[in-house]
Amino acid sequence: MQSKLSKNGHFICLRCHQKCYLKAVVKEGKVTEVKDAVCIKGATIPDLMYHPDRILYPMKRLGKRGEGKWERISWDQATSEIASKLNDISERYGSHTIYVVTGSGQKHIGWQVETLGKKLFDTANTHGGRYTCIIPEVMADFATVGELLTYEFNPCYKDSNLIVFWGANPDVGTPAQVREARAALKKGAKLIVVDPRPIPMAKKADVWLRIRPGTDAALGLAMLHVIINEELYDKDFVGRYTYGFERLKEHVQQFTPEWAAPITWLKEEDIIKAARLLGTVRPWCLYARCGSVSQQINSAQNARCMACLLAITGNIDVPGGNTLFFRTFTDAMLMDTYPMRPGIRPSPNAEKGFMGAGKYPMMHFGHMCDMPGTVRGMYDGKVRGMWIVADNLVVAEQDSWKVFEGLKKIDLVVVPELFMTPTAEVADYVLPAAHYAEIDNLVGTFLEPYDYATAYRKIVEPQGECWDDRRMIIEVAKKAGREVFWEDLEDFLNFRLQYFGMTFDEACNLPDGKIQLPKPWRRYETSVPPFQTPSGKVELYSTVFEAIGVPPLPTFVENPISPVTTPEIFEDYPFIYMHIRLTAFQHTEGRQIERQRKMRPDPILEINPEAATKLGIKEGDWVKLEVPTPKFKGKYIKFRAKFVPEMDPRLVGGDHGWWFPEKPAPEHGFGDSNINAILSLDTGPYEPTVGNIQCRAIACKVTKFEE
Amino acid sequence: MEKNIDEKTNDILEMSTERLIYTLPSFIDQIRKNGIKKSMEESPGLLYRLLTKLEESDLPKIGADAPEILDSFMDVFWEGIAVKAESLRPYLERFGDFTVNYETFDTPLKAHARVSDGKITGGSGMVKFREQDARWFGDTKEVLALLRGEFSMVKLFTEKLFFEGFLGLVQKKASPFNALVGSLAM
Repeated sequence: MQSKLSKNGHFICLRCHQKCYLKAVVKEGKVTEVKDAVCIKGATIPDLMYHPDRILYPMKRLGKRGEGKWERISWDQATSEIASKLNDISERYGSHTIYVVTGSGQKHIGWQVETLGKKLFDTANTHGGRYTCIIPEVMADFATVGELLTYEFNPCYKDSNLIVFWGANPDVGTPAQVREARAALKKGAKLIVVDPRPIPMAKKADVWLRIRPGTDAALGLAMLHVIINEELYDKDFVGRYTYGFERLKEHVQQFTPEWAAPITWLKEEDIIKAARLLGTVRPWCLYARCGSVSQQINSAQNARCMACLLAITGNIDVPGGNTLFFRTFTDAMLMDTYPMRPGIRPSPNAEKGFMGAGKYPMMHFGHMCDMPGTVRGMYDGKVRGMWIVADNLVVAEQDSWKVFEGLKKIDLVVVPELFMTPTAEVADYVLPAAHYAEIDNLVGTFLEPYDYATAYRKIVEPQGECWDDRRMIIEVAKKAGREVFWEDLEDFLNFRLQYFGMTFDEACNLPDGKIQLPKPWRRYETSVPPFQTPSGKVELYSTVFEAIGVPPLPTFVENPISPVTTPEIFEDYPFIYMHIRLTAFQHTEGRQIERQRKMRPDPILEINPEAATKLGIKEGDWVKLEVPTPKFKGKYIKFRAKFVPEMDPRLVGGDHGWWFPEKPAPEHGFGDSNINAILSLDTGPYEPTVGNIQCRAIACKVTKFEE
Repeated sequence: MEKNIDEKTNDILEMSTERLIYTLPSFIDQIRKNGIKKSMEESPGLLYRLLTKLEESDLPKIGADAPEILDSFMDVFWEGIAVKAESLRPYLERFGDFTVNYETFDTPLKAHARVSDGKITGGSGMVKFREQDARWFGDTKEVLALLRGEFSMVKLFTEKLFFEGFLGLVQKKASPFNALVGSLAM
């Protein structure tokens, strides 16, 4: 179907969160070059789009799952058969047994599909990798200030006098945004880095806190102790806009820097120095990421500590502080996919079938189902159909082999994708997804700070028979006879713009397709109530957490397996494993793109040279990594050793998200070098707000790999 | 001589669920015959008191045995609110257009309300998804409490109450509208 094409070649890169505004050079209907890219992922968009392995036609499985036998079929056949099977599942088992699973590949398209899917197929069970990513932080921020506060699009680096990177590596994770931070540092802003690894920013830091992985809340509580006891907090803000300060004050008395130092492996004086900076330099902003506010059983509490630190020092929604994203940019929330997700809901009946209901009450708010329960559901019949878009579920989720085998047991697995992946290999239908330069889109662009949304037409026509992911789900819903609320994709895009009083076409015709959004600061001064929380204030004492049985004041919980809780295990498994986010790839994507792979041909394990030498490991050797989990006794994953002298000898850091497109199907080596292959969803403890397992700060053993 | 609306309301407040199911339809008829506006004047707080009574009743039983009562009640409720809102036209004009649906888990209660041209209208049944700005849903008890203006953010996090719509509307319009309805019902 031919339709309108972009007139200026501008589009938004969706390979990571940054959403860079790029320009494509088009020759003879093909994107030949991408300008303004700030990273390899943007620069290699043409390599990806025209890669010979790209899926270009709908395919149906022949033979057994994972056998690798496929039949090319028409879209009419694909949509008709999938619609019929989804209807059959709904009638026999209920619509809640259909799961719409999205990840962060083709970013934000998947999340729009999730929105569409829950409404069109009437299911509350949607899942993104975000339960091990942003969601614990989201839950904590919403409980504290009523919206997102500590995520990567909240800090206003530009006007900041002190920047804090806490478990976040901005040079890799936010390569566009980090330029704003660097500019602020150049102007004299101070820098605190909380990270066990020598990330690039650590070398520039005024205070580098090389924390023991998993002890962030201990540090946060000790800093709260210092700031409160030395009366360095913003008394006016605390008095007017916070709830529970006295209880917090009383609570943190026990958490002295002296208490925190041995727990965190930090020096007491460094904790105090950092706390005093937070208490005396204003404004300051913070960016926290998976190293601190995700993937741990204490993730949400870690984020609560950070939100409390920002609040009591008066750095919320001020220039140079952390923006109240949803509030400050109220208009943005009318269109962006983040708020869209919780904003669209299925029927009450479907909500009853929400996986995790009651167990993790806040999950429904973020519309993430309980993932360990979902994987169990693949085996016990609670999960019957899965629409997996932009998510290499097998690689991205913990307990990869269990997920892989579980998918084979489901009645229907549909995978729209760009390339064959271990997840697509076990599908019933693999559908050819259009690349984001091949679709019309409306994207909120949260750079520094978020102040516009961009509407753009596709740059080129989709290749082969590729369809926009959103079109696929709309067309299948039509075939299934569902009430389709959006006639087509254009109608859906118009719907997202309804409060702006303009159509998608009109938005595309604005200069650069940009819709400028207002940027008021300190919105809480005029809002009634000031914050969207139960008390209407910043909840240092969280009434929401209290209501769901989670400690209402920030707490520190030691890892289930750590040098403190299980020293005996550390005799045999002496290292603590962390994940490394890669410049070359976005999560599990890009391993088949030659220019990206050249940057990282093999999975790497960073290790201190002295620690490695003691084990007879030389740089570049393949090493085995094993964990103490009984279920994985005798199993291991492999990395190439990379010596990092600044690395604490008690820690190792491994690449995440590895699989090998070049290795034999159906596994493509997903279990070879991926920590998820040796993490178990079966045993807790689980994070109390969203239910994730401890999947970083893992005890492990490293030995030289002998063929 | 038939009791007046206020006396009858007082009687209803004392009734068991079984008697309520039997009596409420005829009482709603009486309100209509008497005239909605006149009934509101004769029995201040009529709507609020009926909401409270329903909340205290065995709602699933009403939903199972006499679901039509819920529709009748919602129709008369919103007609009453519309009458009471007549004096608020300037405020409602500033409030702007807003359409909200209400839906419940445990009974067939469905309702909608709309602010447009400085007026409130509403009744049983829901408007189409594309026409709504927001949808509240939860157990009937929770939804009726919303209509009395009772709202706690905690419930949104604890699966007591669900909201469909752009989140900013909770604070901007959806919750203030419920508070307004609650005060009008009094």
